Amino acid sequence: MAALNWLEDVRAELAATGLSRAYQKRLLKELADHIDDLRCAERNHAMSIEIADHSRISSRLGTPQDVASAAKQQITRAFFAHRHPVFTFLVLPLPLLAILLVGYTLGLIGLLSGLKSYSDVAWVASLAGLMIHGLAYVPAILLTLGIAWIAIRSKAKWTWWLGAAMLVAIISGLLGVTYRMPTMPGTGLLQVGFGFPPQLAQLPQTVIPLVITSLLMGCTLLRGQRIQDTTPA
Amino acid sequence: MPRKQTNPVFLNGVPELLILKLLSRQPMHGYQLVQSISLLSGGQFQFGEGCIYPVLHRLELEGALHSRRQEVGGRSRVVYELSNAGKKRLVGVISRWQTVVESVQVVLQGGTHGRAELA
Repeated sequence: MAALNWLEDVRAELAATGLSRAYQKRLLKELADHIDDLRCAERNHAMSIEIADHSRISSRLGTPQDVASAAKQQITRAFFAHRHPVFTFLVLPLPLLAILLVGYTLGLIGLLSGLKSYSDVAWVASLAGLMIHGLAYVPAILLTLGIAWIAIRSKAKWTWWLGAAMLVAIISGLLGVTYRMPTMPGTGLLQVGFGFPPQLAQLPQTVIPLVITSLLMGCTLLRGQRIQDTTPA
Repeated sequence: MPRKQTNPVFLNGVPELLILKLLSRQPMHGYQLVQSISLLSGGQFQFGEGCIYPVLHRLELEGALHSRRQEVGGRSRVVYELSNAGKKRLVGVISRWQTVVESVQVVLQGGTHGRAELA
């Protein structure tokens, strides 16, 4: 019973760290195995009541707070983003955005070439226009989500996360996309480039990554708060 | 609540060295590692035994260890073993540790280097 209580306390402390549930489950299983081994050693060597109560288990394995704190410290330390925040959040977004833009553009060209024979169909023309507009939004949104995923997983400071999101938002806001659907072969146009100052129409390109980041940050903070509120003191 | 007195903060990194060294001899699970550390160090290293698992997990995430669940003494246990990257890492960790030990020795023996010159 004491072991179960101790494990329950560790579970509560781990929940407050925000580490993944899969990891929490794994750690708890291994701690339970360890307690099993201690019990077995007691039986085999007629040891004292070493693990008979909660405080003795804490004395041997560490307090639930110590174990949870060690888990948070060690696991976050293992993440590249945690050890190299400047590179991850201020340098890496730039080449990643470039790769996403090039990838999206190439995919777009491939797709539009495939739709060429249907260009006189109204909905195909609308879809093509929408996809071209997407060039100004989709890569930046994907990168914003990717940054959020890394920041949440690595428990990065919110300032790094926000800094990266602002960087993506500013660059995305400077991206200009103009196009003209072809009326006959060779008359279509697609221009992609960065320009300053940005047009008012490009404002959503800056706002959307920031809104997504704010929402995800808010959810993460609320989730952390909720876990702390439900964790016994 | 009686709490185990742990070694000071400057021994950070020692658990990693001990874990890598012991696993270089043979694969072990967490409890075996704790017992080996206690036995071989004559009980000199005092730490919460539960705190060894996060260190093992970090080393695994960093590629220094592999783990697998297997039957040990009729019970299922997570057994850790050193990877090739872990072997290389161990060489580096031992080298750094020896440098620290030698430097401390020099200081303890009143070494001649770094003596303050009076003007």
